[in-house]
Amino acid sequence: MRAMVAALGFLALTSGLGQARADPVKIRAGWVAIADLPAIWLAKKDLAVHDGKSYVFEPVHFVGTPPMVTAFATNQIEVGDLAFSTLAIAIENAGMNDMRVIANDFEDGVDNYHTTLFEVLKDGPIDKVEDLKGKVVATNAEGAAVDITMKAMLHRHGLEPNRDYTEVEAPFPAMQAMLAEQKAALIPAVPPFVFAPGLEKIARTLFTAKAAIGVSQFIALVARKPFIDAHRAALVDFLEDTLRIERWYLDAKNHSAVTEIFARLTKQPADRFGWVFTRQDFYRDSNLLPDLAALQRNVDTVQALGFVKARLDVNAHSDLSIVKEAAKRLKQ
Amino acid sequence: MTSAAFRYLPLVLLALFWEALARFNIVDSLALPPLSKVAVAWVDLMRDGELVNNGAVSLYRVYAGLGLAIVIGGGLGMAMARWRTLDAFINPLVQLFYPLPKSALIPVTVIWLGFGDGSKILLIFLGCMIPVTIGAYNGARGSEQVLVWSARSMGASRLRLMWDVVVPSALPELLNGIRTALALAFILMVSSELIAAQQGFGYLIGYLGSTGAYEAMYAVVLTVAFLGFAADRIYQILMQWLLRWRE
Amino acid sequence: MARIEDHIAPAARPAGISRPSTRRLDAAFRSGAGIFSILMLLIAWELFARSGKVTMFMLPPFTVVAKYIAADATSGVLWINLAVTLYRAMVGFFIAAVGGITLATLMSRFRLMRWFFDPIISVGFPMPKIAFLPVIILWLGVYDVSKICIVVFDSIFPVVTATLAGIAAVEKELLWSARNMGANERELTWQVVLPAASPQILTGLQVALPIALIVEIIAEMVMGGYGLGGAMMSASRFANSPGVFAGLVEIAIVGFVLIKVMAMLRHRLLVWHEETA
Repeated sequence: MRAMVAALGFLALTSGLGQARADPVKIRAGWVAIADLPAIWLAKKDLAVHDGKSYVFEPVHFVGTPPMVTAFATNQIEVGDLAFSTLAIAIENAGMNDMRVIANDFEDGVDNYHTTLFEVLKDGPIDKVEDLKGKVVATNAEGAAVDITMKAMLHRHGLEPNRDYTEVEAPFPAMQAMLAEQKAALIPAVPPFVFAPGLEKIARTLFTAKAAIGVSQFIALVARKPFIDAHRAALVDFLEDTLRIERWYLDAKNHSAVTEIFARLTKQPADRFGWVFTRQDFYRDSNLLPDLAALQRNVDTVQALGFVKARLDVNAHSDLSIVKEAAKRLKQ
Repeated sequence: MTSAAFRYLPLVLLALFWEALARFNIVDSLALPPLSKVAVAWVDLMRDGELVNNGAVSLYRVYAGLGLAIVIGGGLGMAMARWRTLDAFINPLVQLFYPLPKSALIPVTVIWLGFGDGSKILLIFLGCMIPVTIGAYNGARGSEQVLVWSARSMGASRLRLMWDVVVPSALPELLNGIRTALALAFILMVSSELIAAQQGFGYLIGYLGSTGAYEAMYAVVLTVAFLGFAADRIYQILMQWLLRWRE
Repeated sequence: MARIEDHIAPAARPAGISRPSTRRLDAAFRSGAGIFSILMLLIAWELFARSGKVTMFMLPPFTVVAKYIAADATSGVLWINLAVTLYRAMVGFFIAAVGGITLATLMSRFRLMRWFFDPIISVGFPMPKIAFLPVIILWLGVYDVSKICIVVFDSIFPVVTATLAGIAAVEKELLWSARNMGANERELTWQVVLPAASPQILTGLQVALPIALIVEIIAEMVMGGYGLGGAMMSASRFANSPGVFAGLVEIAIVGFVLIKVMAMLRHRLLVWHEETA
């Protein structure tokens, strides 16, 4: 007990000291999948004119967004790429009422853009969702966006976790192997792994995220209000750089350069990344503005499934003024 | 020398049996890759630095946590043995926390300190503290009262008394407590890294296993197992050296 | 070269701190102080959690955690999780107990067995066998069998080493006189050797039991599904701190009760032995 208090005190002290001295401000940003904004950001650092001046950017990897909530609570990151589910969890369960959505990362199921696929073995025993009763299903982390999406679909077909199916956690890169070796009967497939050449040979789609929960504001950039208030100018600079980077990736004439970057990041051939930042990919907004209406529907789904108790008003937990200010600057 | 070879022959037989099982496809070679391929994977892991980097992180966590537990737990145990009032109040807490399966602390330390070194060191410290405290306590209680009296009559101060008389006579029990703690530290290190970490042996095992790199996964598993074994053996030698005056 | 017996030293120290015989007044003081300090711990927890120095997420107050446990108990989830955890930990423990004692008995009777298993046990004993968990998942999946397996794998070693040491320490005179009275090897094992070694064997079991619990909890956290450890991990993923701390308290109580029961059993079983006299 005493040791714990000492350890907590020590941590509080050192983090306090760190903040007092640090200038430019450090922005550590959590990410999960390789195409997440904080992950592709570094590769185009040359466009970030303010990096190293008003702020220093540092990406941090997580297996899913749920551990990122803990990282926020323990002050290990300043910005996070949270899912609609973990946003609700962070605010309602972890009590971080000061969470603010500050920018969009990507949406799932917009028009003909990509939607997350949930895959089963092609010649396997699963024909419909009900067949998953008594089976093992894989998820990246309990509570993540794909996890809640999958649970919503299984719930609609009368299946509940533990009672009707067992969940195992595995990182996204491992999902195809999990299915192939029949360690799981159902896997979520996200880019880039959903486009891996081996997957379509063994797997077929049981359902999509769009079918499960409709269009969704899947992943958004989030920061806490005290940090926003204290370092607003640095965040505007950061989002200005981020907008420039996002637009560069979205620009069709950079497409081959983009595929080269992905090839380098994943150590795979560039021709596997024809889909990135095209209509085959998730929808990304060139102004980094999130779809708050979709987000509201998504967090309502999380509440309806019982994972958070109270209703969350996403408007009260968004602060888009920063990204709008950043966008205004770019126009000038 | 030959007798040692004869003694450890069964381990060699076991290794050959493993190789044969995998080579002749008696079991699925995916689930059990041949030992020779595991060795190749081990060399690769060593060469690209992954094993060394993650291993350094893990060992740092083990020894930082254990070190804290030895200093604080050892001090607490001896103080409890000396001052009866302190004993009366702390002992029930020790009794209460002794049976706690320490792995239940893993999610709690993550909530407090996140995914880095801090939460692992705190976990290992909390887990190891109890056996060290008990060892120090039992050892110090057993230190002969006559020795204490005679030292006191010679005018030794309380602190001197602790250091010159109580610590040496508590040493055998304390060292045994630390040995239990050492084994526990390795268990907690691997499991906490398997469950919630971004670096370390446990993380590497979990990651390699889930990406299907089973040969490399076996290589790391065997490395951890060997290091745990070696740490115990080295500790035993150290223990004998520290206790050589007893002969 | 290290022998198996080297491992007995740390194993020979079962639950807790031995209390010297104390006078009645002293005993009253001690038990009063004991209750006092546990109460103080709970009050300190409650006050610290409500002081505003930590968030609800980092440390929910004890009363909130107690309410959470009560709610889980009324909804029945607690009992399912408890039953599943106990079932796997106990089945694993019993297999390790029976298997460990049998193996050690065979090792002490047959030289070949001893030659083969001696290095395996003495090298395996100090290894962190939990590192093999992903290997066991690879072989056996994520259900009960693999969880029980890792429990057996981890808790069998102290049983074997303690039993071997116990058998080795049986007095030679006892064996000679039993042989003289015409006992065959089988009777000797069952009626002389094992009873005489039983204090040490029970010590081994007392070391193995907490290991079984620790490992079962880890296995549940890694593999998911029902169980106290699995529920704790789920709660952690949903940032449900009261759930995490409820799990900690529940697991602590299970550990406490099991270890007390084991100590009582030892006392009952060794009534005949000088240790309890």
